[in-house]
Amino acid sequence: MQWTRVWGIVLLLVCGAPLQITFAGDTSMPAVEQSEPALRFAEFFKLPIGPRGLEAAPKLLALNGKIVRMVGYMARQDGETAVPGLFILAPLPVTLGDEDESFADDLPASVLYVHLTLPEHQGYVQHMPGLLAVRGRLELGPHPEIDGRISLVRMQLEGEPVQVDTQPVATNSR
Amino acid sequence: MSFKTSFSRQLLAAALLGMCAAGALAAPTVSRLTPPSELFASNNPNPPFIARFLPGQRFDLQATVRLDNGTTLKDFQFLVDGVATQPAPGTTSVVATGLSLPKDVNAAVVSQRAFSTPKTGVHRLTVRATQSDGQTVLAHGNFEVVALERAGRPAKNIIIMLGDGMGATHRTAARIMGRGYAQGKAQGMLAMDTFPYTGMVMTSSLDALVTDSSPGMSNYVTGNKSANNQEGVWPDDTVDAFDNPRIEYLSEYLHRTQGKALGVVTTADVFDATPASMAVHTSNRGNGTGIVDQFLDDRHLTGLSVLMGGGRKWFLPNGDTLKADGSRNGQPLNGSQRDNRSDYVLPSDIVAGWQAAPGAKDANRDLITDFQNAGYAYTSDRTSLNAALTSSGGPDKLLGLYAYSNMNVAFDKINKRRGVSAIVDDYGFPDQPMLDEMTSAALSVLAKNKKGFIAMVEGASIDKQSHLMDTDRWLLEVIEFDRAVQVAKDFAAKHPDTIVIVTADHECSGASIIGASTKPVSVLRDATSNPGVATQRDAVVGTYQAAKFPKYTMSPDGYPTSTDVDYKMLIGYGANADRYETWLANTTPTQDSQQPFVGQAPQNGYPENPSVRNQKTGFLVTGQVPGDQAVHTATDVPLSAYGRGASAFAGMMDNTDVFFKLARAVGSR
Repeated sequence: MQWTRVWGIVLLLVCGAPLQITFAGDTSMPAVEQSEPALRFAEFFKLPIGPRGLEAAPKLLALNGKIVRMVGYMARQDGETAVPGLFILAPLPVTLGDEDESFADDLPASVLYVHLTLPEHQGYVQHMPGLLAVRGRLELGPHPEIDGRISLVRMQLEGEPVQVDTQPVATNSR
Repeated sequence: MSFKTSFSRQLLAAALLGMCAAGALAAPTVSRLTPPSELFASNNPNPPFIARFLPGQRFDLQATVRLDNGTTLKDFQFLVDGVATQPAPGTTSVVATGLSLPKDVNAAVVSQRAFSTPKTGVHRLTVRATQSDGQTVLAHGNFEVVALERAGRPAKNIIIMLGDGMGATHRTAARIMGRGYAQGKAQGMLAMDTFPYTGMVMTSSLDALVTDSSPGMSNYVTGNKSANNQEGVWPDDTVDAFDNPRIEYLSEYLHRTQGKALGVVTTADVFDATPASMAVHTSNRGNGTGIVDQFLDDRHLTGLSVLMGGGRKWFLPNGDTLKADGSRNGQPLNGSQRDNRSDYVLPSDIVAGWQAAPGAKDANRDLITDFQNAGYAYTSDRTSLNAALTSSGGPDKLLGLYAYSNMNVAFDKINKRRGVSAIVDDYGFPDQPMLDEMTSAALSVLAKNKKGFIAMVEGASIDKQSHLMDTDRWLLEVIEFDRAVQVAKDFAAKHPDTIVIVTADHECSGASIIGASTKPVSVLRDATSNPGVATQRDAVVGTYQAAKFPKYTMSPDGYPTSTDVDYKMLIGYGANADRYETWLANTTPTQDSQQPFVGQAPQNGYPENPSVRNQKTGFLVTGQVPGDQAVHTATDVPLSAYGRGASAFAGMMDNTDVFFKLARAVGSR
């Protein structure tokens, strides 16, 4: 893994093109500070939904700017839908960029845009099946991503995602 | 003429080959000529003509000209029957960048927007293009302008009842469940069965035997074949999904020529293919932001007065608006899915030719407020809908957005009303109207337009639940849809200047009524603890006489008290993906990834898809198609008609024929 990273950085410098980033897929949970709260997708918005849009739940708003932990599925992004230095964590397995719907993604409302912060992570992230645990600083508010999407909830990743459950799960396509 | 043209082309091809072999410059060629025709594609000048129009119906002319390397397009011209057309200023364009062709291809896409001719008959279309070295190419196609004969008194209103994915099986199964059979005779008829004229519709699209919902609907209301995933346009060779050559919709034609209003009602997200194919022009059915924007922006072209369904996520502002004073509005987290990549900006030639709104990349647009500012009453649930209708005189225009994405299905909505299920609460929208209630509201608003209207009412999840092979849920979708059909029929009975047709855009899932269970429902439940072919197929599936006649009890609310009855009807699928079958109603729907709170409790307890649903309780039925869902089929679908002009809708017809029959029903004024 370390050699992969080194070669990745070298190639990035030489070619100037984003690379495929493969995380270790380590299944051992990282050491967690007890003070770091866990946030669940179910805690993003209020139920029921009012006459206009969704409304952020108090817990989500209270964690803005704080280090949090989350667990979810990495959205599968192939070809043109993939973006370097970024992946999307969703509460269920989803595939983006279906041929028939394209920009009308199968993304649910509650998703986390995970921004990779380390220089060696600025390539395309290879899809990791199963449940992932991530840790990082939470950011709220509309933010245009480089693929044209506008994220509402983001995380500046600290460390690497950890595979909690590698059991492959069928995707939910339409 | 055919031989002569063909021979000429062969000579030209031979000459071109010779020139290429010698390293000389080749002449330019035309690789696409729109409107599509068999004359251009295969040199066949004979019927059936691919492109047909009403007298005066507008459409774009377009050609892709392949140029020699190192040259550019000098000029172009379209000719009809050998006479040069006279485009209005600003209505032509040459696009040489942003093409979807291979990068080493030197080409230009040339367009002339919003052409029309009142002259009926078959016309020869010619494009003449000259490249910068002076070499010229000619290419030919054809199209037909169909005479609009008057037949009796014209209808004033058109109502299209569209059961998405509803084939003959779906109708029959709903009749068996909703009305019952005894000694071989139906004990009653569905509302759609009582329509006096019925025909069959061929549903293929321009580029596929098996259509998707975009051309499936669009073809009914343009009279022309669109390609899969495209609505109100023909394919082109540019990347932009909103610059494709357009065909005037029936709504646009009737609003322009007769001042009719348009109503669009669906149980799906309103951006979905079927509702969008009544009013929006795009080659990408997934462009949700631009699609919902165009509904409002081009209301002066379509006469849009009613828009009802789900899909609120496309109407919410996304992106912190920068105000003039440099501050931002602090937009809350609202779940908006608007973004600029799925939004639209039209090229100037379309704006000039069609008088269309130019559009804007405005993800931060508050579209609900814009609708309200344009005079639409906004309703967000059944309660607010009823309040709007009972306000003084009721609204003249109506926007209803009752869900974040697709609305919940009838099975779950009615069980909420009965107090036996809280599925709709899990989705966050506990007070959604039923389709018949939406239809009644829509017609009451549209009827205010003294010049008449065209309405489309879609039972969207007949298709969506058929994809999921959730038999009990699509059955209740058909029953809900038929209740809406009854509303439309009642309206036509009171307003006899109305034509109502009920049909589908395509069949979905290859559904078949294979028989009925030979066992009471308690045995089906017991078998889930010992699943397998022996206990759940061989011991249960009754065919022919063994199936007898399944009996359901209907509640006063119009829906079966339960679909899990003893000796229940059994449905098989001929276009199926893998599924596990128990024959019992699924307590919860299959997860819909676009719904809020999906993947979270309690929705994370819903099955992810049919390939894992009932995995431990049912027997595996191996699919004939890959993926997780059943697919559309090319099977012809029934169409029934009621009201003024209905007699034209008998026999076998192409989906594009329906457009001309509807136009004849309303006549020209």
